[in-house]
Amino acid sequence: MKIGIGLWCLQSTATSPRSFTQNYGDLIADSVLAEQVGVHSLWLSEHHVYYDGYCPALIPAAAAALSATSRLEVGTGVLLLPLASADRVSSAAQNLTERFDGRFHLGVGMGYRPNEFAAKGFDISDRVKRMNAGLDLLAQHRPSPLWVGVTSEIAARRAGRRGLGLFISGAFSSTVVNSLIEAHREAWEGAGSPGGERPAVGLLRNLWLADTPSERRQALDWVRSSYLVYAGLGWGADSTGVDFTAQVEASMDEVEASAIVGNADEIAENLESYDVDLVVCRIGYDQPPRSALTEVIERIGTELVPRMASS
Amino acid sequence: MRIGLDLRKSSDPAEREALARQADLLGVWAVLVGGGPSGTEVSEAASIAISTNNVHLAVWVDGSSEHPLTLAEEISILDHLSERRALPVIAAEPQIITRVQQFLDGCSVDGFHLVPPPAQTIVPVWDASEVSVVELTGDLVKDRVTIDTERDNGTTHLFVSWPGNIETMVRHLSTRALVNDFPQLVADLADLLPENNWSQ
Repeated sequence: MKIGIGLWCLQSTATSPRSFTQNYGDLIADSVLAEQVGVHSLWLSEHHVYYDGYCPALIPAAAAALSATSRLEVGTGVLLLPLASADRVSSAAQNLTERFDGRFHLGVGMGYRPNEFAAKGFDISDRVKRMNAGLDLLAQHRPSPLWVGVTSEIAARRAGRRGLGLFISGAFSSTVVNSLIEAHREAWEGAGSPGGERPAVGLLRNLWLADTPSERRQALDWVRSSYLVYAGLGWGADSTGVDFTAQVEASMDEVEASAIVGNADEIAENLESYDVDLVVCRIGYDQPPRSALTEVIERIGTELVPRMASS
Repeated sequence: MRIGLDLRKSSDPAEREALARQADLLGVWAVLVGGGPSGTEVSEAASIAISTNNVHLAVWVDGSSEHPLTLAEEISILDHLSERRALPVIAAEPQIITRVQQFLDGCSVDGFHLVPPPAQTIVPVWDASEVSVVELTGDLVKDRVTIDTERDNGTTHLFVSWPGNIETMVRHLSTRALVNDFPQLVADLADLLPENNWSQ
């Protein structure tokens, strides 16, 4: 099982205001550190026209992180495909694949904010049609390793029947995760196993390496508060049945319940229960100070990665 | 007049990046990249951004292939990655260029704002059809005439493709472009000085 880190969103939020320029400088520093300590990959995330500057252009940010490193793989987790020209995304991904020896991963998702579609001149009611057309184009060209971000079994099947990798959102219980993996696998097999090799499955997990009870409580509070961002964005995960906007406390409880906070042995034991190829440790929260973030990157690389190498 | 180095004649991204690093060390005002497949332009500039410190990153973008907001978003991120060195050159209809500029200026366009705003207070968006680009020959006698003509005709920023050593271009032509009374003797004598061996 490969271990990556995410999600780098590069925001300046109401809870933790900071310099955007500094954020992008930190992205480079974090990429270099992740590579030094043996992390497999770093993943970026995208939104548009949101007050906190949530990164709206992942390809340039990925290019910079790839340029600063020589082994680290960099992925989009996820790029919102219906909001972009799929042809242009494919060209950009192909370009990064060629320039960086296959270290770029293109993860795509559908998007859910009406504002983002309106800002780009699209009707959100067309998003499934645009997503399917974009996935068909990417599946045909295969410009890089491809992942489809999903929050529902319908979306998992959409990826599976095209032979595309699965990138499972972070706040789900193991039951939901397993149902998404099963739907993906069934759809792939039902479509005649396109590509011949079972497409990879990636799992985003809210986690933090911490030892003492007070550190663990702090980490869980960071996980909880990070979902204020998603409440603001109006996100509701289809499979949880939880409405992040209307039920903020219930949502935070749900997220906390799915988070894995502990020492490397405890986290490794939890992760080993999933039948996935890649785990992206979601550590890019809003509130941790930089010293805490760099420490957890180091610990993931030096403590968790070796434990998961044989899984 | 300022001289920028047009790197688009090189087909090798690694060579373009190496030339950009050299230009950066030699104080060249800007490098011009882009013009390849749509969607790849800004990512190449982003790569150059993190291996250079001072050179401006002029990026020739096909403005007809994406929404103006998407173009503005990419440029804004490049501006942060490069710490205020983004210089977009957009090939598109004038109304598209105007909309990209409005987004970068912080205006509301159709009710939406660009977030994050760029790092620079003002990011100048250049119309590709109005950008001065010349192909120099490497023959300094001929190229001096080209530079003098452009400068004396009022060109303020000129992108040149240059077939030779960048240091030669900077010594003889970037300098000359700045004023109309460049002391050519200094450049000629500089060519004759022994190499600096201090580091050895």
